[in-house]
Amino acid sequence: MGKINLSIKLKNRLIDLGKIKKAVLKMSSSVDCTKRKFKEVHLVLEELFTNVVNHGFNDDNEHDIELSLSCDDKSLKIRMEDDGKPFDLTAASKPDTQCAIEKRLVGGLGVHFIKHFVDECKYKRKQGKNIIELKKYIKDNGQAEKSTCDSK
Amino acid sequence: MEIDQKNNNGIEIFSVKGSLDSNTSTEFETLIYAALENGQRKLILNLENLDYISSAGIRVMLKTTKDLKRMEGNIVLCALQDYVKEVFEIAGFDGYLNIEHNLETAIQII
Repeated sequence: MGKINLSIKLKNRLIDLGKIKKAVLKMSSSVDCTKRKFKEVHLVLEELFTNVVNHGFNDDNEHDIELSLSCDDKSLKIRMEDDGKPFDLTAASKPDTQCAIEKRLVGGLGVHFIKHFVDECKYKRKQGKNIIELKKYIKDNGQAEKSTCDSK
Repeated sequence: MEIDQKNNNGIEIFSVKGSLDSNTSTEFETLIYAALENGQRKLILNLENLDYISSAGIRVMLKTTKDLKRMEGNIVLCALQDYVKEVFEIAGFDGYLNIEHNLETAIQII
């Protein structure tokens, strides 16, 4: 169907999740893809964003978070840039999903979901910024044969 | 998100519609913990109309399950849509939680 590029300026506040939701809706009406895939995309973007908002900054100041989405009928590329603490999600360890419930921690789940639902993830730290680049195949029959994300 | 809450013979049933995300999960948590404060110890979450959940929603469910276990209560989830079910499986929570196909069986087993 189409191709879409979106650039979204966000601040480190949860209310801006509404902007992400709108962007996902816009993409879903522009490209040929199942509703299910867009729920996965929504989840990846929410976890990516809330992780930075909740854990990325040591101060209470306002920070810019830039999100770029580039999507065609086959794949979606996500790029997020923030000036928070260095955090390499590609190196984050997988939560222990098999332990007893009493010991089960709530942290780490968001990154676990991101890694599960994307096909490629790259991280770099440049000029005091975290730059995360993700790629997700959105065609059911167009999946990458092997993910480069370690949690799959 | 919309939540319909009712009590059926001592079982508090929450029917959740829409999205449980980082913004709406706080309201969901407040309602659940108000029921626990009121002495409710048997909870059913009917997720038939829940289209979307993120880790924020799952955290509330994990916390509630842990607390109810300590209080010798019980929580059962039912009627999960495929996406929601998969998210629970990826999180590894399907083994911790009581998940039933529909509300009727959830009421029977709780």
